[in-house]
Amino acid sequence: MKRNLKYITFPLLVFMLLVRPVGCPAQDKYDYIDIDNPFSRKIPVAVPAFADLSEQPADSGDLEKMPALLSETLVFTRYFDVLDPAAYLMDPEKKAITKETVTFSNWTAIGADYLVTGGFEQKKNRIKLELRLFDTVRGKQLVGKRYKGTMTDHRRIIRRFCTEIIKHFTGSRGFFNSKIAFVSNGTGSKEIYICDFDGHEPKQFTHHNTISMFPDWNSDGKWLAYTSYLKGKPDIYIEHVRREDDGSVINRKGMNIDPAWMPGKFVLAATMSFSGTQKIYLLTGSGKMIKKLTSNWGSDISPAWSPDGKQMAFVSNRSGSPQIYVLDLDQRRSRRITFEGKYNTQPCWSPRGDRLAYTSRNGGLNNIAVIGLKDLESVQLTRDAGHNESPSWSPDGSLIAFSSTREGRSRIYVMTAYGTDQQRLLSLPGAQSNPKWSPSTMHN
Amino acid sequence: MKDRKQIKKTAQGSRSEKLGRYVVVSAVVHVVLLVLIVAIPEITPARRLAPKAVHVSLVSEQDLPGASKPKHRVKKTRRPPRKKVYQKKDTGKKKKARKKKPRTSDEVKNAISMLKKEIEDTDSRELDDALSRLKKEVAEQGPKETIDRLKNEVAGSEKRIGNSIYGRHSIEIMRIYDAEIEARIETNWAFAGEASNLKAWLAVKINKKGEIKDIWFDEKSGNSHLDDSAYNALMKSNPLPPLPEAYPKPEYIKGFKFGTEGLSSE
Repeated sequence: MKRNLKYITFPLLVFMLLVRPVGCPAQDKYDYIDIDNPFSRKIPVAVPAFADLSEQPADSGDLEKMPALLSETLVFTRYFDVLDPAAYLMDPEKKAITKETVTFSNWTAIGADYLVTGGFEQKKNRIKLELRLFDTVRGKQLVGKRYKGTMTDHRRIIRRFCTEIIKHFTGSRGFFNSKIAFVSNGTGSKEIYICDFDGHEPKQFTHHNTISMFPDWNSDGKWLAYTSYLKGKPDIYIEHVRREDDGSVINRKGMNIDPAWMPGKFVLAATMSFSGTQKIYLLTGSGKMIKKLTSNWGSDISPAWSPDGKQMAFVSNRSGSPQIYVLDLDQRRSRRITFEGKYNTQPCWSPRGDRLAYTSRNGGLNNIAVIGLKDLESVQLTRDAGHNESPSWSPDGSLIAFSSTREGRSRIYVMTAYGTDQQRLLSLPGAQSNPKWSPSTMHN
Repeated sequence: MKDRKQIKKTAQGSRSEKLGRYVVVSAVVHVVLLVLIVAIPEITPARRLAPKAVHVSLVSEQDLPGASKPKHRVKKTRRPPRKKVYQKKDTGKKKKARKKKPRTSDEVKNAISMLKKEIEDTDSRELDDALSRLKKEVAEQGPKETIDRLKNEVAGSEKRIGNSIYGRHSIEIMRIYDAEIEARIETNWAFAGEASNLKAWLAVKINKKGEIKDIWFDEKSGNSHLDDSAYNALMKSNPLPPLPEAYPKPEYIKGFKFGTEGLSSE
C-alpha cells in the first residue's frame, strides 16, 4: 500500500502544480472606476400627505400634521433631505400608499430615492396608523409598520417609525428615544431642564432657586446626577428622573462637582476637594466612597468615562495648564491626550470609544474639537462663532450637542460629528448651557 | 557459494523488476500528462506561469509603438559606446575636457543643420521606401486587396495593444467615456453615513445606446445602505451616454468600486 502511495504521490503533485486554480477573480475581467465621493450626503426622501382610510372621514386635526412631523424628525438626523411637497407628482385622492398602488416613476422623476407613505383610521380618540418606507428606484418596500394608539400618541408613533427607518439605513436604533438635560437661567436662577432629543417639550427638572449645573445621565437613563449650590456650596445631587425613587446627596467637605456615571453600573466618578486639592473619586450611587482614582500632583477635574468603563478621561493641570488625560483603570496609568493649546477641557467620550470631543481655547475663544484616541489628531469643529463649549455626543455618535454664544446669549446647538449642519436646538428665555445627551433607552 | 550466487541473482532480479516498475509508471505518467496537455491546453505550465493580466500603463503606452519603428531609427538614438567614456576616465583627461572652449554659435548651427538634414533624409527615405512598396503591391495585387490588407493590419495592430481589445486612440476615447459615466454616476449617488474602508464592488453591462442592460454585485460591502445607494446610483444613471463609435464590441462591461473614504477628507 505504502509503495503504491509512493508511485501515486509524485504524479499527483505534478498534476496539482500544473492545473490552474479554479475560480478566477472577477476583477481580472474588467477594471473598476473608483467612486468615493457621494454627490449628496443626504438621502432624498418624499413624505406626501397621509391618506385618511377611515370609513367615515372626519376632521383629522393633529393627524394632518404627521407628515410634517415625520419630515422634521428625519431632517433632524442630518441623514435625510425631505423634498418640497410642492414638487410631488401625485393625486392625493388616489390614496396610493401600498406597493401596488404607488407609481414609483413619479417619485424617481422628482429625485426621490425613497418614499414614506402613511394611512390612518380614526375612531373617536383611537387611531390606527400604517406607515411604509419604499425604495422608489427599485420599487421595493423596505419597512412597513402598523401602529395603534390614542390621538395624543402621534408623536411617539412617528418617532418609533423613524427609529425603524434609521435602523434600516444605519443598523443602529438612532436617538429618537433619547432626551437632553441642560442648564437654563430663564427663571432667574440656574436650573436643570430636560427636553426631547429635538428640543421639544422642555421641562424644568430642578426648582432649587440657586445654581444647579453639570447634569449627567446614568446608563439606563433613569437617574440624573448634577451639582447644586442648594446648601451654599457645591454638592452632588442624585435624583430619579421620574422621581419614583429616593435620591441621595454627596456633600463632603469642600467642593463636590462634575458627577460622571460609570457605564453599566450604579457608580459614579466625581471631583471632590475634601483633601485639599481637587481629585477624582469613585462613589456608589448612594454616595459611599469606593476609591480615589487620581492622585498625581495638581488638580484633576471633569471625569468622562469610556463606553466600556475601563478608561476615564479627565482634565488636569499637572503639566502647568489644563489638559486632557486618560486614565487606564486596570493599569493605573494615565497618559496625556491633548498637546495643542494651553486650555483643553470638558472631555466627552464618543459612544464608539474612538474619539473624544472637548472644549479648546484658541485665539481667546472656546471651540469644540474632536481628537482621535489612536493618532491623537484633533479636528476643530466650530470656529468664528462666539464661545462654543460643553460637547455631548448623541447615543449613536452621529451628532454632538453643545452650547454657543454665537447669537449673543448662550444657547444649545446640535451639529454632526464632523461639525456640519450646526443648528439651534431650542428657544427658551434666558441662557442655556451644559447640554448632556441621555442614552437611547429612555421611555417616552 | 551457490546460495550466495542464488541470493545475488534474486537480488538482481528484484532490482530489475523494481526498475521495470519505475519505467512503466514513469511512462504511464508521461502518457497521461501528454494526453492532458493535448486534451486540456489550459493546464500547460506556460499558461500558468504567464502573468494573470498584462498591465498597460496608458501613459507609457505612448512609447510602445517605438518598438515597431524601423531599426535604423533606433540606431540614431543609441548612446555612444561606453568604451570611450572609460577611456576618458582612464586617461585622466577630465581637466582638459573641462577646459575645452565653448562651442561657437557657428558650430552649433552646423550641428543642427546636419541633424536636420539627417532626419529629413531618413524620413524621406522611409516614405520613399513605403510608397514604392505600396505601388509595387497595388500593381501586383490590385488596389482593393491592398486596402483590405492595410485595414486588417491596422485592426490587428489595435487588437494587439492594451487589454486585447483596442488601440491607443480607442483607449483614449474609452478613457473619456469612463470619465463621463463616472461623473454621471457620482452625481446620482446619495449616501448618508460616515467614512469607512468599506467597498461595494458592482459592474454594469452597457449596450451601444448607453442603456444599462445588467447590474450585478461582484462583492457587497457588508453595509446595506452603502450597497443599496451604490446600486441605486447606477440605476438612476440609466441610460448612460451612448458608447463611442470607435468601441468595437456591442456591449461594454465596466466595474465600479463605491467607497466612502472621500467623506473623511471634508
